[in-house]
Amino acid sequence: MIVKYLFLTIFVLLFFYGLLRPFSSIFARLFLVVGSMFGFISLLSAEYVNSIALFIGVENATLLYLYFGLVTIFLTIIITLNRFDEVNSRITKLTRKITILESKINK
Amino acid sequence: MKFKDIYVIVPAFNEQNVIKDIINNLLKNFSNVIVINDGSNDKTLEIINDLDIKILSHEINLGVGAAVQTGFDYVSDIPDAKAVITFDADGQHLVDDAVAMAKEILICDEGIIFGTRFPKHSKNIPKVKRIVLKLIAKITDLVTGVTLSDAHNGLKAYKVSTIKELELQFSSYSYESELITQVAKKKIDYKEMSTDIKYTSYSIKKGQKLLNGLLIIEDLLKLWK
Repeated sequence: MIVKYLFLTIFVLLFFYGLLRPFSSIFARLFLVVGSMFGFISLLSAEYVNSIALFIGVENATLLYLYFGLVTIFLTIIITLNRFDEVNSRITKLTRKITILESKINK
Repeated sequence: MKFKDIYVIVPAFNEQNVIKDIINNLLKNFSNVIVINDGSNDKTLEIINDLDIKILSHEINLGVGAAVQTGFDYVSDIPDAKAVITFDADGQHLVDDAVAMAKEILICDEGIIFGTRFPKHSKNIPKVKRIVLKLIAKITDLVTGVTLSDAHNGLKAYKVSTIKELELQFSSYSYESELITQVAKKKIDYKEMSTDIKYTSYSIKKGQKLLNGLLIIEDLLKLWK
């Protein structure tokens, strides 16, 4: 029972974190808010998740977890890779600018 | 006679074993050699510091594409520069080929001269690599419309007016694909010149891995939007 309350508290905190933390993308915020709500509801009762699953046209809660999990994993990979490329590109531009400036100073 | 208004850009990353000889050979024919030390963590920088060349040094290793673009940016600001030659630091290229390209870029109408190992010197290329290179050239042609027999040869000559038009974003070897894409999109005139290649165990170890061919194709498709 303590563990259940602990997880419920974590999901509530994640929900507020999702609302308050500055995100670069609205989708990231939505993902965290909806995901924490989903976690909270699934801890209260599996029946609720079953109802959600049936409502959105998925057979049962287990499949809903599976799909949700897979989408989360792939989205995380894609977003992380894109972010990595973006940061890499900024570092490259910065390093090249420093190199050119240094060469002008040392002329 | 030494070329005074042509700048040779040599991107170098951990080339302590060969860099000195390569630069000294280039200096016999070119007055202006620029080595872009791309964050080497061996003695490359120490060695080139003793040579009569311009050194640009990246604090961290960014990749050959970024090093070449740094060289372009530097040369673009030099008023009397007429052309640029890119020359790999691993000893694959021959200085004689660079000299022939330098002569040609000064008199030809094209903005870029691509070095090609085909068909004259293709026997020097390992068989599997030869097939991969031909495949990449074919796909490059299909995707960009730029017909080259060798799309990934580091030895190239550019007019300075051309490098001012280029802006390479890709840091790694895939900058070659980006370059070809920009040549197509900006309608830059180009031609090929036969160049030899000297494969040593050292240059093979330092060069592109064959599996990179797949990444090159992916980059080409990504770039051609």
